[in-house]
Formats: sequence, structure tokens, C-alpha cells
Amino acid sequence: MTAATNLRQVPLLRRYLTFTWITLGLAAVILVLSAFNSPSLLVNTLVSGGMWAMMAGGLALVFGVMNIPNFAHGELFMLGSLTASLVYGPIRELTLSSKSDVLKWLGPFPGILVACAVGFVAGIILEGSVFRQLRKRSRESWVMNTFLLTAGVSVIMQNTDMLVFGNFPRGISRYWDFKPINILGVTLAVDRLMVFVIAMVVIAAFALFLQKTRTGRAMRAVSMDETGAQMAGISLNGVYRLTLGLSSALAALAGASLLWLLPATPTVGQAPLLVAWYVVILAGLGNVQGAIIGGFLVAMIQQFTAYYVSLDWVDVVPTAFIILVLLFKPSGLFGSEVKGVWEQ
Amino acid sequence: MTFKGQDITKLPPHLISQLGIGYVSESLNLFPAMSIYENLLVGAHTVKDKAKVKSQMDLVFELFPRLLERRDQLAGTMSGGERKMLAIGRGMMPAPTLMLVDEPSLGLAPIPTLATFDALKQLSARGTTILLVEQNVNTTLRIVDRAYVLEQGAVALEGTGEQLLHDSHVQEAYLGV
Amino acid sequence: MATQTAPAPITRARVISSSRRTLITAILLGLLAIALPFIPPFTGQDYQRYLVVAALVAAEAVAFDFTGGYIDIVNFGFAAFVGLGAYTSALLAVDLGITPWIGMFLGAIVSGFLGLLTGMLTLRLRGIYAAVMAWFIGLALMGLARNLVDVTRGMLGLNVPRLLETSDNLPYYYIILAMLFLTLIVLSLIIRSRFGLAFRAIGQNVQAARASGINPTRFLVINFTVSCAFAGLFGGFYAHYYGILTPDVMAMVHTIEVLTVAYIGGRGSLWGAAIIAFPLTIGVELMRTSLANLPGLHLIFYGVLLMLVMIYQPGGLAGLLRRAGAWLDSRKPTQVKAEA
Repeated sequence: MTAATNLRQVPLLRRYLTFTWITLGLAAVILVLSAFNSPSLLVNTLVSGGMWAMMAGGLALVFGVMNIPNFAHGELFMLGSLTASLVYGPIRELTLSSKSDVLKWLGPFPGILVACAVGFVAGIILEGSVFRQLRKRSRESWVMNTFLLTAGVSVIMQNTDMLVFGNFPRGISRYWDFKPINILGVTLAVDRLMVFVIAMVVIAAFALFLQKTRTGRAMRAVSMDETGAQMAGISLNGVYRLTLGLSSALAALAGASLLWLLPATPTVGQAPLLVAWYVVILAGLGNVQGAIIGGFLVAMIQQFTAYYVSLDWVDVVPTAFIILVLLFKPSGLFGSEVKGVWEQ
Repeated sequence: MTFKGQDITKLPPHLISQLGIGYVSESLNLFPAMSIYENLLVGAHTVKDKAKVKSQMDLVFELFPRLLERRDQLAGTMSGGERKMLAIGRGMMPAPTLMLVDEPSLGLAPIPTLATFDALKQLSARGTTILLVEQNVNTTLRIVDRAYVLEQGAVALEGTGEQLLHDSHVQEAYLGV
Repeated sequence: MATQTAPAPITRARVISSSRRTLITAILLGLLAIALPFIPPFTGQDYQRYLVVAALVAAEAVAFDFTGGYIDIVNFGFAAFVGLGAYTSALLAVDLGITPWIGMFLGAIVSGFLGLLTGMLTLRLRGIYAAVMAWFIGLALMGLARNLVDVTRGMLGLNVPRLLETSDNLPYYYIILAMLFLTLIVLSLIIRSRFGLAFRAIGQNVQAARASGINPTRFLVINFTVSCAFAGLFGGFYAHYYGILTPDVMAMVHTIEVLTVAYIGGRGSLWGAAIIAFPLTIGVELMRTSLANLPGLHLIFYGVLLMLVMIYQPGGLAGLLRRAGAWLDSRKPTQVKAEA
């Protein structure tokens, strides 16, 4: 990327990059070495990393463009998970009774796609009914105020779900009812493989969208300079609406894709929310590119903790790691003075 | 306030720019982590026709060859003069009929200032109306067609640049002659 | 911000008259709080239990507002700091036999110390880092309380000696009320000192505060530490009032309850939170007992109220009352004002 070569002219940034790349390089080496010991570590890191990258990417996008630290991001995950379980339930009956392999392959997609759409619409409603209302009245202490607002949204959505749909888990054992696949000596359930493929495709599409399309560029422009973007004829409200919609759609997609692992309950979004926040604090707030890499890094820390220590410590170890990073690099692994959602 | 017979006082900023009014602010408001090329592309956000974007960009590069040399450099890493050129270039991208330029000489050394004014002069010769707000009276009056002197919020003097340059009040108060 | 509705020219006379009125109102409200258990329906044990909870929430909300309302940093781990104080005091009493009356203050010190560490780590960054890190640390603490079963008995809950032998709620009400008054007085005194000025300056504009010679990080850390220490103190009361302690004391829901009360009361006022806590908490407790088949409804109520206040009435109750006070001042010019 040409941007990187130019950044290297700035000594301060070079120092940042070195620290970051050493950390990431070490992580990659450890991951590969451990794969000889237990291949499932590598597989699990890649599978959950893809999902965390999607969650964190959306969270970082909303912070980068709109300066909103979204505490309700987990509830959009929950919404996706719930929608998918409601839509997939009846479809599953149909596909199970049919003999057609094609139907069995396609069966899960309506639920996932509807969940994505519901997430998108929910994001747009949220922007119009909450953030836009506050923006019209006051932009003073915007970051803290919106953080509180999203906390309110989170409480309302969680408890409404509890009142309407109850507290019991709506899960499925698997989306794709096929024999596990064997890749390089690792047996892999089809669901895991599909989740990884979905994540990779969506992340690539998302990256291309931000970098190469007119609308994506407009979003990045708003994240860097709102006045400048307005001068260029970009409608801020339009960009805000799309940003929250996209971010929510990504969260809902993650929730729907992971339904076989995390059954839909009112609080199913809490763990993913926490992970997404680990990632963005680690990567630097509002940096989508960093958040995507950080998603895999945090997934790795979690998988290693679960494998070598115990599941109970999965939250404690990342916190300790983040504290270490903040001590040495206060603005996060990829944080820099330049504000933008994609650029380092 | 009206533009081409339309009241624009209550219009949101992005719609004003779509009417054909370009604005180059004194703080420039560039996108620091985007390349020059991308900054110009964002400037052409409202232009749907790709051929037109291409021709406007060629025009910008013709006027500011320096921007073409640094096409892929990040805006945040450029010098003050180059940033000023980029801001004007970005303002030109939608081919506005009127361009408002706020203090282009602010914070610039004399040579980049002259280069900037020269570019504005060329731009105006190609048919874009430019409304310039400046404190650098001497240089400004040499390039403008028409000038207004504002004192305490009211128009105190008006005339062609040449007239004002030789006006005794202007010479005394602004040029220190 | 709540401060934006200040009346235009503040003469010295008006300040005196309105501060005297505030003082009188405060004393009257304090007397009302003291007399409340003797006014029906608060004479029954059920209602007196609500009163204890209300006064506890009031005290917590005041401590919360001390950071949220003045330096504009939301402590998302507030409940965890409460819980840390609670567990410290409880474990000291259970394992070492230290009396709760001392243990509560030791709990406050431990909570304050963790607040100091958190603050030193995060407060040099943008405020949102402190808020989120406090949340992380809170979750990590809750994880510890859950996982260190040997020490805390985990989700089984820890049996804690109560402050008093009696099962009567009334004495507990007066203890927590005294703590509330003390907190209000101490924190108001800090706010009126040069510290308070610095807090406000930083909360409104960090850059400007730095330019005028204030070291923002130091003041932010002091503020955060004090607030966390008070949280720990109330945690001690919580533990020794309920007599049983589970990691749930640190749950996010509890932080949300406290911050909702603080923001509806009006940020940056201290007393607004103390006043609104009583009707709000008692109302919610009633709602919770009468609509037990609809769990979580009271939380939806809290969430909706919080959002409405944040968007449409950012000054909260205190902002409304301040505006009413200013209106009174403009209507009835006092004698003192005429002299000035």
C-alpha cells in the first residue's frame, strides 16, 4: 500500500508500527508453532477471530465516523441471533424432510440474510430515533452522552427480549447437516468452515467498500473531517444512517452465523460485546483496519487461555493484556494521531 | 441570501455545495489520512459522470502540476502551500460556478502565496467566479476584477482592483504608503 | 450541560439569597428524610426496607455524580468498586473477625486504591478509555469473585455478619442516612474548594484547563479515587446490611441503576441525585414487587427514563429546579438585592 510507504517518512509513526508488528509477528509465530501441538487452536482462532473481527469492525466504524462508543452493539448481535432462530426454525423442518442436498446447503441462508436486514433496519431506526435527536439538541460531551444512551438502549432491548421471548435459549445444534470435512489432518465441522468463509467474504467486501466505492470514501471523509465532507456535498445524516445500519448489520450477521454455538438468549450479546470492546481498545478506537486484525489477536488470546489455563479466565487474561498494551502504547496497537477509520 | 434566485439561507451545507457553490475554508478541512487523489475524488462526490470527474481532475493537475507529482501522498504529510493547492483543487472538482475562498494567504510564505493567487487568477480566467476574502491587500488588489473594502461590518469602498490600489484611503490605511 | 441555564448577570446579592434558600431547602429535605419512617405508609417494615435501599442508592448516586457530573467520565465499573469494598469488609469480618465498623472503611481504602490504579492507567487518555477500562476491570473483579470459590464461596454467596444484632430496618436507615448526609457534605466541600473549580474546568474543556496551568490527569485521578473510595464504603454497608454477598453485587445492572438515578437527578449537582433517588427507587421497588411476573420491566423503565432525560432534559431534576429558582429570583427581587 502506498500509504504505508509514505507514513514511514514520519519517525513517530515508524516507532508505532515497529512495536505493533513485533507484537503481531510474535503472535503469528506462537500460533503456527502451537498448531503442531494442537491444530484445533489454530482452527478455533481463525473461526472465532473472523466473527470478532466483524463485530469489532462495526464497533470501530461507528466510533470512527460518528464518535459513538456503542454499548448496545451486543444487543444487535442478540437481535441477529434471535431473528435467525425464528426464521430458521420452520425452514429447518422443510430442509430436514427433503432429500435434496442443494436445499440443505441453502437452508440456513434465508435466516442469516433476514437477520442481516433486520440488523440494518434496526441500526437506521436507532440513528434516527436516538442519536439524531440528541445531535439536533446538543453535541456537548457527545462521547459520554452517547455512551450512556447506548447503555439505555442495551438495557431496554435486553429486557424487552426477555419479556417477549422469555429467558430460555433458542439454539440449534448445527446449520449444515453434513459430515465433518478433513483438511490437512484437522477434522472440521461444516458450520465452522462456513462461518469462517462468511467472515472472510464479508470482511473483504467491507474493506473494498470502504476503500474503493464513492460511499465508502464519503464515510472515511466524514470520519476525518465533517466540515470538509459537507463542503464536498456529502450529507452527514445520510452517512450516519448508513454507518449505523452497516455496523448493526455486521453485528446481526455475526449473531446469526454463530447461532449453533451461542443460542439466542436476551444476554447472548454480552460476551461478543465485551470481546469487540477488547479489540477496539487494543487496536485503537475508531480504527476499522486495526479492529479486524485485533479481532484475530483477541481470539487467539482467548483460545490460548481456554486451552492452557481454563475457560473461567477467558475474560481476565485479555484485560491484563490490554492493561499491558495501554501502559506502553496508550492509544492502542494501531492508534495514531491521524483520525480515520481505515488508515493507520 | 439568494443564489441564482434561490434562497439558500436555510439550506443544509451539503445541498448548498450541490447548487454549484464551492467553498475553500481558511482551515482547509482536508482529509489528512487520504491521498491527494482520494481527496480530489471526495471533492467530486456530487458528480455522477465519471468522464466529467476525469476532466476536472486533469484540469486541477494542469493548474497545480505539483499535486500530480504527489498524487498518492497523504494530505496530512504535505507542506502548507501544497495543502492550500489541494484545498482549492478539491473545491474545483464539482466545477462550481461560484467559489468562495477564505484567506488563501493565511500562514503561507510569500512565494506559495503568489503561486496560490496565480492559480486563482487562472481559474477565474477559465470562467469560475471567485469570491475572495483576504487581508493581504496589496497582492489581492493586483489580481481581482472588483473589490469591496469592509470596515466594521459595512462596505466602505468598492471599485475595480486597480482603482482601489490607487485610492488614497486604501493606501493610507492598508498599504502603509 | 446543567450549567448552561445559569441566569445572566449574577449579582452578589442574588448569590447570597439563592444559596440561603438552597441551605434552607436542604435542611428541610434532610428533616423530611429523618421523619420519613414515621409518616405512613413508611411506618411498616417493608417500606422501611425500601427506604434503606433508596438511601443506599442515593449515596451511591451522589458518589457516582462526583465523577460523572463534574469531570464527565462515566465509571462503568462503579458496581464493581462497590462490590470490592463489600467483599473486603465482609472477608475481613468473616476470616479475621474485624468489626464491620472498621472493615467498611478498610473496604473504602481498598476500593479507592484500585480506583487510583485504574485512574493512573487510563485517565491520561480520552475519557472513554477510563469508562471502558473501568468496565473491564469491573468484569475482571466479578470474574475473580466468581472463580475464587475458596475465598468468596463464589455464586453460593458469603454469609456476612450484620452491622447490628437487630432485624429491624429502622436503625439501618438512620446509619445509611447519616452516611448519605456525610457524603453530601464532604463532597460538596470538595466541590466548593479549588479542587471543584479544577474538576469543572477539566470536565468542560480539558485543553483550556491545561492551558490555564491545571494538570488535568492529577485532578482526574484524585476525583476518580475519591469516588471509588466512597463506592467501597457503601459496599461495606451493603454487605453488612443484607448479610449475604454474591458476585451479583458487581453486575452491570447495578451500575446502570445508579447512573440512571444520578443522571435523572441532574449531573453535576450531587443533591439532585440524592433527592430523586428516594421517589425513583421506592417506585421501582414497588413496581418490582407488584409486577413480579414481568421481570425486567423496571429496568426497561429505567432505560427509557434515562434516554428521555439525556435527550430532552440534560440538566435533569437539578437543572429544572435551578431554572425554577432563577425564575423565582427574577419574579421576587429581595430586599438584599435592592440594596446592591
